[in-house]
Amino acid sequence: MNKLFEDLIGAFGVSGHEEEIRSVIVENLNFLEVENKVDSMGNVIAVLGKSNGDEEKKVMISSNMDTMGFIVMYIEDNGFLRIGKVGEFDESTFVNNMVEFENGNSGRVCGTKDSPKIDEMYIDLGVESREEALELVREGDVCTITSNVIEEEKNIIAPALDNRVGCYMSLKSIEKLIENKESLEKLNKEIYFVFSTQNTLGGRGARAAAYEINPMYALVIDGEKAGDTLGGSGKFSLGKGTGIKFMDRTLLMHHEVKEQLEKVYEKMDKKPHYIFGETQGEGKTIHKEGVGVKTGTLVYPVRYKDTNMEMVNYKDIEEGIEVIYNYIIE
Amino acid sequence: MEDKELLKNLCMSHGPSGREHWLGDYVAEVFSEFGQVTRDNLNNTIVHKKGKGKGKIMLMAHLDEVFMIITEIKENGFLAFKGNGIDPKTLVSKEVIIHGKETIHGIIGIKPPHLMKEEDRKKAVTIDSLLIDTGYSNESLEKIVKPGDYVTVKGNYKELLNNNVSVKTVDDRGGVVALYRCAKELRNIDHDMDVYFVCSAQEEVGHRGAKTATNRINPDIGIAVDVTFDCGMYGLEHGDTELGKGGVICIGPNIHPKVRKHLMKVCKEYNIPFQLEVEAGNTGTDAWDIQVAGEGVATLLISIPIKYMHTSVETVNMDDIKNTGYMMAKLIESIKGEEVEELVCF
Amino acid sequence: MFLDEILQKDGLLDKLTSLSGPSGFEGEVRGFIKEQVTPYVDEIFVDRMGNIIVHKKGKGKKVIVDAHMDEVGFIITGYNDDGSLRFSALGGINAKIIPSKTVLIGPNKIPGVIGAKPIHLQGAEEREKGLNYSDCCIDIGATTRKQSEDLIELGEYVVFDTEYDEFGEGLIKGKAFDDRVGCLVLMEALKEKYDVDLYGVFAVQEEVGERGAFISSLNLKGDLGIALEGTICADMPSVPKHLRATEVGKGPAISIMDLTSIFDVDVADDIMEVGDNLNIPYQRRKAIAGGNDAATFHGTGFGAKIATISVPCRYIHSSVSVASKEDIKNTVKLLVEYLKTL
Repeated sequence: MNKLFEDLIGAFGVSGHEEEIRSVIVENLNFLEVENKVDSMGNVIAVLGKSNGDEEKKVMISSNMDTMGFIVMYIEDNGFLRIGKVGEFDESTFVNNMVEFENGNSGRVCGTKDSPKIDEMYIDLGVESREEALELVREGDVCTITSNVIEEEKNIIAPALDNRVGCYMSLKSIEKLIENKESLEKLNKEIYFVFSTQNTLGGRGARAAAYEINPMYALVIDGEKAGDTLGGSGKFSLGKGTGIKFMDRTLLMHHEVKEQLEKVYEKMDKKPHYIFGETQGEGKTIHKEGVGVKTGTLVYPVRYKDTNMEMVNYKDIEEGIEVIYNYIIE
Repeated sequence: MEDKELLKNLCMSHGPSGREHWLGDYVAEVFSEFGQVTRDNLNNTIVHKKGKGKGKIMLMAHLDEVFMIITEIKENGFLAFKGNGIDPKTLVSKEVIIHGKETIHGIIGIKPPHLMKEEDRKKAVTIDSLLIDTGYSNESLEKIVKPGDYVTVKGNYKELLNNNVSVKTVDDRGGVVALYRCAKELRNIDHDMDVYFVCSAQEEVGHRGAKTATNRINPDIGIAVDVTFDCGMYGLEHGDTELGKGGVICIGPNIHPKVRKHLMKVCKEYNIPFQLEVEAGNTGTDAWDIQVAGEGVATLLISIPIKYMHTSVETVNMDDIKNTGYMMAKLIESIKGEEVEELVCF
Repeated sequence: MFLDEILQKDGLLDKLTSLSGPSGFEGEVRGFIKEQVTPYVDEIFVDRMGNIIVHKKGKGKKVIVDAHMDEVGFIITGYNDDGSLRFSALGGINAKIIPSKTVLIGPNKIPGVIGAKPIHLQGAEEREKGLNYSDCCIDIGATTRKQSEDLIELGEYVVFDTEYDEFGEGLIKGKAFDDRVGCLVLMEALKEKYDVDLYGVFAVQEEVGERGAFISSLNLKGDLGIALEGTICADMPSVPKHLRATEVGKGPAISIMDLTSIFDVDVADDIMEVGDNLNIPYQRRKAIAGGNDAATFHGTGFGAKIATISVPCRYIHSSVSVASKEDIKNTVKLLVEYLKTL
């Protein structure tokens, strides 16, 4: 596992508090000498290529950099923290785990009963009073579930692989594009790479980016649940390649983007998987912005998505980078 | 072209949400005599009928229909699918059209009753328990169809008594016919406002096309033309809406009160029959997104009453379509350029 | 700043909350506020949705401060044969609130009562069930359907008939505190002078989905947006402390997160710093429930930094709410002093 990947999955970045992950991405872009900026919503936007003002040639490639987590809403007199959820996930699975705050302090997630809902959960900091707690955290602070990163031969197991893997794939495709000077020169499109914020809260960062950039096409890179586990459903399997998400709850993939991606897979001599997504994605807010954006989603399989030990396959990551790169230069 | 003929042609064709461009060329052909026809990024079809450039009014009916989508090729030529907006109960024993590399037919059947368990017999059918039978071998099928391909219901056009017609997708191609009727009426009318007829995309998945089309046009007034429930035996419990009594004008926060009152006045003046309904919040139509698009749009909603919504036997009265088109034409005629500002302001 | 006169009976807040202005029908309130604020602003106009937009010119950041004019209310949806009226809610009013209330219908404020079946006539099963809108009607005393139809148009608006008054110790009660209280705060804040380029928005249709603010935010494109609200306050003994959200008397509430926004920590910190420096009490809004116009600041255009400052109000979205006079005064103070630092 290389340093960039390590830094990406290790950086703190709960929705609305993405400072740390943002600086990792900006640092990498600066290292690659790619011009970038941060907009009003905290999105990082980098542009490569040039067009001669032709609207047709503006493409946005979006991966969200935020993660889900918990937020402190109320500190009891005896120092326990009442919490809220940031993002859509099954909170009860995180009882009896440790959490880590942005400032490095930790706490233990507990429930007031079995299989608790969020308002029956709290964090124990090991203090005795509200005053002591306030020395460690404040109301409004956010935290993530602490976890380990385990490198296996074929797979990586870690929290937040969805969607830091997406960010990694975007950054690596940028790197590849820069290395291939000839391709970059010949590129007659403007590619806007967006590392977006507040995705877990409903694609809020991506919407603002789409508004500003006003692209013709948008490709969202996202993780999608792999169904090849015991008790799992759905056809997406780990290690068998990336996929085209033709429909989810909030986006019907635009037929032009579908055809473009199909061409890319054909060129790579690979067969894409066709995935139906059960949940929402960032494309939801992008495609309806302004006068409309032709939008589609490229997905990579993630086992145990939205848990603190997600599993992604290295080969799938490599393929993803290839697909994005080929999509850009097509 | 006669209204009935256009309704039949439109409704018997297939254009699920996201693939409205399958109908795009036909719609462009039909509307081309009224003005320039363009298509935007989300496949909204926009027809610009020039007036005197004094203000813009947009009329919108959605072109897409409810649909199913293939999720998996099972054994023996059977397909698993997900639905959008279709009650699975209405899919049992249904003929469908599968839009793969080629267009093929399918049939959705169910387990014969004598093989069902007692509980199955009582429970309602779910999408997950249904399969599409193609009659092909998997080997041949895989060459034609893949997950992500669309499936729509096969249509059956029937003319009933009292100028009633039954066919699939009256929601909302009936609205498109009303737009066409309006355009025809406007041929002989001098109108100050520029008129934009929009056949919108992806309404059935959450009125997604409406916002972007409105952003592009930025009209002063926007009228959504959709369908609504009648209040008969299988319609709404309370209310008086009936087929044949005219288009239903909506009242509520989604609707601009001044423009709505003006429309009612116009209808009374020309003896155009109309009905009323009240919506306290989200009307569940393109009108909801039109209102807060562009710079803010004075919005109206006129709905054509139909029976059996979202089934393949939606039933409508042709007079209601005609009268809806007619009331919009008369409304457009009545608004002089200099009156627009006053009419839409608060 | 002394706002005592304004908060007394027959004062400005009394007048403001007594006006009828449910979502989509804010005309009365719009006319009143327009008249009140015009002397204090450089520009004022009403936009396409019916929002009032005011501008106090300045250099530097573009700041939008938003309060919504609409209150929750009802709309007439039909007539029954016996002359009673059927109705729906404009905005979120739980059905439990509605029986046994008096209401005022339309611009002529025709009086009506919301009736429901007397308990002695209810069967055991009925007594257990919760009430629905379809179980209630508005009675104006008409005996025939025609009588009602002639007097009241379909789609006419309805508001609660609640009198404003002082209450308990230093508290007030009335209807429409959410968000006429916010409007009042904004109106008072507009009387001061600031360096920033300040836009005030008196928005429409917040209660049915932040509809007015969507357009005003989209068109104004501020750098910073502050929403002013009358917000949930459940500080009753039957509610555990951590579910109360805010408390009456503890000062303006600064939001952390709600269903439609996560608020900027740096803005919240700056506001709290102003409070600390000037000894203005404040509290955090400790619940994620609900949403407000702030969603439109970051949800349109380029996005913006956002904050929500609220006056805690008990029993919002019902026929009568309760708030503290001191809280209102302190909210005005906090907002004004914070805007002065920008």
